Amino acid sequence: MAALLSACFVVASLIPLAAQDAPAARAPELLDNAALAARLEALAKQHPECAALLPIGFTRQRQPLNVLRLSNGQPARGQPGILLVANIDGPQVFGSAVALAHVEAIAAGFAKDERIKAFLSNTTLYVLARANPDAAAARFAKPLAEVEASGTGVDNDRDRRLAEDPPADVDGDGVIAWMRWKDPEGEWIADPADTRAMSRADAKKGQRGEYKLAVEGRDLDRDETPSEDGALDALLNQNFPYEWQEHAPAAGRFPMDEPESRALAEFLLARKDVALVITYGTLDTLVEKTKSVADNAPPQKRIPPAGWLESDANLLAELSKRYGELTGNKTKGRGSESGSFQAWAYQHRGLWSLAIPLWDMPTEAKKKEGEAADKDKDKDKAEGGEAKDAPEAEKPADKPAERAAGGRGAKKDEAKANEDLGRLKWIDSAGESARFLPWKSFAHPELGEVEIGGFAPYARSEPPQSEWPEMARKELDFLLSLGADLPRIAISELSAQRLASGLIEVKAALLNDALLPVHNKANARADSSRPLRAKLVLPEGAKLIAGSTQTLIRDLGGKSRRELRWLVLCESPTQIGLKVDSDHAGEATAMVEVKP
Amino acid sequence: MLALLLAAQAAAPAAQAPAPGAGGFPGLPANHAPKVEIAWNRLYDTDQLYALFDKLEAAYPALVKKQVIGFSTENRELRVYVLTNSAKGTDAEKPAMWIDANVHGNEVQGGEVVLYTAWYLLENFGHNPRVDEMLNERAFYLLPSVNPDSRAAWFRDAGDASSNRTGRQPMDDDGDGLFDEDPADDLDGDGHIVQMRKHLPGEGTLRLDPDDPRLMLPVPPNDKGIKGDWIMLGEEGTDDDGDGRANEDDVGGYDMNRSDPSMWMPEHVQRGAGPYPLYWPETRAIAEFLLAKPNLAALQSFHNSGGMILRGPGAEAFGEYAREDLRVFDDIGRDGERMLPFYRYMIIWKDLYSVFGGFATWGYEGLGVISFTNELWADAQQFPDASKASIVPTGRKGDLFFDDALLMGAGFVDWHPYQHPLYGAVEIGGFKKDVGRVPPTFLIEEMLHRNALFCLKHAEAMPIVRIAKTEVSELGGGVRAVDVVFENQRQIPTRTAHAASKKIGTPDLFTLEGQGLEVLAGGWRNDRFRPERIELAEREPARLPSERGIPGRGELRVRWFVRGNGTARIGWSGEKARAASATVELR
Repeated sequence: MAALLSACFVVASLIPLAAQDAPAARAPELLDNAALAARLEALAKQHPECAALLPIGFTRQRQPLNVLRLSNGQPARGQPGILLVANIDGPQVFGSAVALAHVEAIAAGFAKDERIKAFLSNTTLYVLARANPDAAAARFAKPLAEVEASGTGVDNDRDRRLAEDPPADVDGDGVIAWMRWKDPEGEWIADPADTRAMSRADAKKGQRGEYKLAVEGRDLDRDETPSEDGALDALLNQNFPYEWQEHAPAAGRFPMDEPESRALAEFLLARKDVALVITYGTLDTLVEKTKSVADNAPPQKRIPPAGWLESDANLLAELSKRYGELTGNKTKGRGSESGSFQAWAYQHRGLWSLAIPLWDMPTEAKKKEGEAADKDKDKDKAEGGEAKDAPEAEKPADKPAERAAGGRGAKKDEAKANEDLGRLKWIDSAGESARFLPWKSFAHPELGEVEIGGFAPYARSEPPQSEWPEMARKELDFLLSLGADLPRIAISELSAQRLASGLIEVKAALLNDALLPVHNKANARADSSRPLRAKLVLPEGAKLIAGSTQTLIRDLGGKSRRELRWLVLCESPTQIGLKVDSDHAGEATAMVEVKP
Repeated sequence: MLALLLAAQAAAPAAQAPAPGAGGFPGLPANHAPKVEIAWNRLYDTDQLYALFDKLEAAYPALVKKQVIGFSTENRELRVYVLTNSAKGTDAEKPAMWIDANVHGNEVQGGEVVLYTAWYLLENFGHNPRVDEMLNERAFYLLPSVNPDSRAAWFRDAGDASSNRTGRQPMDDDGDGLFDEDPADDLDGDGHIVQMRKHLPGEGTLRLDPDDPRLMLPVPPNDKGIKGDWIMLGEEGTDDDGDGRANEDDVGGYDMNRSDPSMWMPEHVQRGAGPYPLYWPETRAIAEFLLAKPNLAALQSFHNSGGMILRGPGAEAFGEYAREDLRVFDDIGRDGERMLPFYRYMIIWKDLYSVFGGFATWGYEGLGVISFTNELWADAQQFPDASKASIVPTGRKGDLFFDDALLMGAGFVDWHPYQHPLYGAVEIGGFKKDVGRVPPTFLIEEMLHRNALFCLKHAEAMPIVRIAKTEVSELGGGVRAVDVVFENQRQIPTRTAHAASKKIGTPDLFTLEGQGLEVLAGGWRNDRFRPERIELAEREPARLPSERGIPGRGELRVRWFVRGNGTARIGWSGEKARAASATVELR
């Protein structure tokens, strides 16, 4: 068992960086916090021409949080930026491996790769490879457990004791798995189609519940519920202010209370050059169509309706299409966006928030090479194009067993149980047997005869290792393609014409040639970026008689042009200048000669 | 008279009768000189207010202690004064009331209310049994100014009644990349920021009021042929940043009373809310302090103006507050209306306007504690005698009459000419910053006393738990039933319905234990006449947690089934009242 596990879930030790000629596309590696930090530090040291390590704060356990900045030297003022955030969800450690692979490929390719050079010439890339080091540490700890919570703990079972019943490795096999045991009050059955899978008993099918289900652990407080009260409860990715669930233990004491969430937020507030955020997590805004509402949809009791604003959603759909073409990723998102970073970044800060679920375990058997590929395409066409419903409100589970610190992934309701059957089919067909631990009897000290097994930790968050290099390459491909889409202002015309002896007409045209507008609708609504500022620079003695010295522009769209006009009084030959600056669409200056 | 004095001096030995002129009850005028004299017919800036609190702390060291809980934007101390009689226990062991003021820097007089509340309690301690209970059995957390920076600025800088509401962190209000670059300006240097008007004969929208040229009236619709001679130009000031707008980017520009986590909404829903909840050091320090005080059982905040006793919800979308809690709110709120003439008990979203992220609404919705916000000073207090309504001028005319007759015209800057760089010849005039939102000096003390006593009424309602009755009955076979009645003598439940429903804090705990005793079973009795109607606990009967707690002016009855002989120790512990215990012999 242990050998099989380690074959699939390699815990990479500290690998010294190879010599300067590291390959452009490096296979992703799972590194623990210390190793990851060391790799990023080494990268910044080795590539000072394009890489800088920016400390942004500390975790609850005092682990450093570092953002790696990639740019062509010092980024030009106002140059648009992309932020990549990975591993904000504890179990999504794989995302940090992909993020690390990206930064190493970009740093290595900066000198020679034309595409990377072009990207970094006018875009800044910020990478927070591991936003949740505290929870991620569990990936490399013994016993192996999937841990989501890194923050404030509460008395989950309300017995006035704190953390008296955490998950634990009861059978000492080095893994904290699941337990099922027979109990007349149990609501679960071993699914008749595959007794490895647990399904909720369906009275309509004549099924009667037989089992209780919980994360592996003791029942030290003898309340007949094992592992229901761990030390920690709050999740970073439920601690953001958008639709923050007050009083949900997973949401924390108040928004931005968790130091990691706050550090990330403060970083974004300070970095007004960031216009687009990519998050590798379980949520999705790119694979399937995101719910949208009309730009001017009326609020309900003052609160704006959920969903992306339509104009923004339409542009997101363009990016979504390209993402599908470049990566072929069809992973469905899961979980609720309440309190999430991804939703906050768009809804409250008006940033393009591309939420990417890198991988989830497929829910059907693996296709043999070439087999039934066409059938799948037709199936996708028939099902595709449907707007995804608003992400299912997967409320923080009320049942203590499911909410135990480390509460693992999916709520097991009927629909998902059926999906477990599909997952098992995939496991069997793909030869990934380590991902499911067969149920094994065990004499539990408090509960009596139990069976321990179930889906292994991280089984749903890490694809087969053979797929990692290609996945990373495709995601990098998509990331690099976004550079050209970011708004950038240019002064496409600046002219000055004498209308009469002292009277000059100045005309200018500002251009944003990119797909994305300077301010998207959510950004304009939140007023979170300042408008474009166009300043007319007049020489001594010249007087402005029509127009403003400073024009603020809030609505320069994608592939759009804006004309400005002034009338100036000036007798002598002279020069008139125009300076345009912004938070995240770059800057432009131009000068025009005025003949006598 | 002597009997009264002796009753008031219950704590002091009878031999020490107080000398005339000292030691009487401050609410009764005879025979009282306070230990600390404070003038109540004025307002105090931040330094003065802090100094007066320090004076109280020096005079009553066993009863009041300053705690610095954080620092403001401009690095002033955020001070909480903890009031309790330390000889009778620490603040943490007792239910506590939080009282704050002045989150909006211009809403200054709440600071004096907090000071008065402290002074009143300290001066009366030892002279009045109800005050003694207040400091022996309860604690107070008093924060006189949430926004000491802007309080200081309100006093120090030229301004009007709305100036300095915000905190003092620079903000780019007009999006031009500059911060606080276009404030209002005291053009004529008279120390006041008032209004500007311009005389434009035949072209204006306003005309002078024939009864009082200080006032202007709108011009009727054009078809009447009457022209106006004046236009209003707005707040005194110039377009400092040349962007075509004047005074649009003043100091700060946010609202620290939109910062708290419950129903928090961002700027486009709630103006002034800032980037995320508890963003500013002041609001965060307070939240951290209160989250560490599970004994918090009552909360009050002071603002101006309008004459209101406000409760949440601040947002309609929250829904209704729990019925049982509303009974407590309504009780205290209505008493407040009786104690505070012209103040109306109101629901924020419904009767006032939507407030997302308000502090007192977080007090209830987030912390589960009965909370109020009072808006001090109502215009109607200028002419309080309703029987004179027919002869009293209303509106602006009333304000001017009040100012002329009772303040010698000191509150109004009469219109006077000024040469404005953009508008040319204008006139500057209007009411000063200490008219309209703060009371005139001669009405301050009454405001302070009535509001302080409203706080104390709320504080008295905090729970007091007693074990009212214990009864033992033999059931045979060596088993006894121990029946206990746990009583909450005050109006506020040990756990509000909201706290119980949202699982805020920790549940109450009911225990029975003793050497040689075995608790076989136990649970809540639903019926005082039918002992078999019990909600038995599934496990650990000696230790019963209760999410719902003991209702206000109510009781919980517990029955334990006990075997063995010994002394049974019965206990109640909870967050919002002192622990209660009793013993009963089982032999």
